Amino acid sequence: MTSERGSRMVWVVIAGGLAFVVLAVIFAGRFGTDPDLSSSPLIDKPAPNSVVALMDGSGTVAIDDFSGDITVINYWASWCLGCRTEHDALTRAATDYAGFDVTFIAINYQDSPGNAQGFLDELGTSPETIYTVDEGSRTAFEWGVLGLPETFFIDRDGIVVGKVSGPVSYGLLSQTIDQIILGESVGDIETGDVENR
Amino acid sequence: MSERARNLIAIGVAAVALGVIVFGLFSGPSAAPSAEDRIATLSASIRCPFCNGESLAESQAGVAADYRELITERVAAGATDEEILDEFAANFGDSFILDTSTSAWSVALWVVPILALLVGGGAIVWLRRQSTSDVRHPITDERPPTTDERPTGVNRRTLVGVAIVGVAVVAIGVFAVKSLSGPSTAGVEGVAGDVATGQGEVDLSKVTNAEMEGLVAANPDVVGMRVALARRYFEAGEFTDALDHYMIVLDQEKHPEALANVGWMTHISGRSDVALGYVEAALQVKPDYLTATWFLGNIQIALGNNEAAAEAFTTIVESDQIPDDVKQTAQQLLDQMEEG
Repeated sequence: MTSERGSRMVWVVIAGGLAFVVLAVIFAGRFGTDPDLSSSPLIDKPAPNSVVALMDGSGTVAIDDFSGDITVINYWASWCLGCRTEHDALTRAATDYAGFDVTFIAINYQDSPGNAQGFLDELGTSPETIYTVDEGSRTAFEWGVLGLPETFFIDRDGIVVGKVSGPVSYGLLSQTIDQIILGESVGDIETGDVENR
Repeated sequence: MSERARNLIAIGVAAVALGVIVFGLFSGPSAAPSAEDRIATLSASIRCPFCNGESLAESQAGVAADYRELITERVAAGATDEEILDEFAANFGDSFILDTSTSAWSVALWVVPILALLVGGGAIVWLRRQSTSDVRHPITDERPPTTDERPTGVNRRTLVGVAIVGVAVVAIGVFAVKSLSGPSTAGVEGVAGDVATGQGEVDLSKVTNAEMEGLVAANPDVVGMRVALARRYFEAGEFTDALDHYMIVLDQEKHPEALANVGWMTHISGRSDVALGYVEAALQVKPDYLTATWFLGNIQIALGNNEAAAEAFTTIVESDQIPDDVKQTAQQLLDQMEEG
């Protein structure tokens, strides 16, 4: 009888121990999750049809205006060091891929018009890039922008197929656009840190 | 009272306590909140995506103000709280919703310990019952009414009582946490008085720039409000306005934030040599001011003083108060300088 009781106790202790270990593993897994590193919820979803104002004040453009093109949307600001780093790669890629029906839209975010224009005057522009400004952070909200720079890629079907967090290099841009032209998936890519103010 | 009846009562009390907990977790306020209350609650429930862990309500960043305005518009348009939170979650991810009281994980965090308590208590009661029921008369095979009966009954009642008290304490704790952590719905009335006297906690997120301008004009010697307003302009990239207010602050005191941010704006305007003096002054006032150290590193790079820049970035990299992403950026800059 004593041995039966002891046996039951052993089983209860084992069951309790197993339950503890399972729960500990589950909760410990959650503690290790950094919410800042969440991937973009927009990937593989239709691109928001954001309407952005042109920097020169001549009107607005909508993302849907470029349906059928591959669209590269880059969020930038004059205060963002990473944006300065990647600017040349973006302007070169916009020129090089213009013949492939690839549209580059640069969206200036959380910046002053004077500083933004000064940035472009200093570093140059590409005639193939559409320079816009995000008034009231509305498009950044629609795109879930978490910091700068961030670059989104839309395929010819209007689906968000990729996002780069951090500065892009020319090599990464061309490789990513080539992938999209070939119909391959891209997903989330981190090249470095995005900057917050 | 029979043992069965006692057990039924115990189970009933535990069930009621659990019901109270669930009600406490999921029930909303009895009266319909005003639009302002809803906006305040929603702003406190959403993490500002640009602001290192602050909620939209807490952050003074321009983007947080934009998103608060967006929430205000959504509320005015008739959107429910759930619709607004869903919209933020759809664009930024679930992790940006700070109010996770109804998520499966938070429910699990509350329910699992309670279930463990009940299951554990039940297991102990069951084991004790088994152990006493095993003691049989060798001839009649009946459980003898020995003196063991009384202590066993007392222990069982004690265990059940402890379990009920435990569940009740948890229930009270849930309500206490809920009531203490609820968002403040204090209005902005009395802001000027609080600022003028330096008393009270003012939620500046609810005060517009125009209102703050009026307040600092009415209370020109109040530094804190002016610094907060200048910071808003600075974070929005409206450097002219930011500079005006920071310079007024600097006329009154060597405020480290004012010195550092004026230095940074001067650097951006192309006068890194002048900027250096401001940032170094900020660090004289507040030697452990890491934002100023970060500015200093960038300004020293612009001036070609790589050694001094490296010293500043090394401080950033070695600090345990700097977010990892900033440290990595500083490390990258250090690596770039080493590579020449």
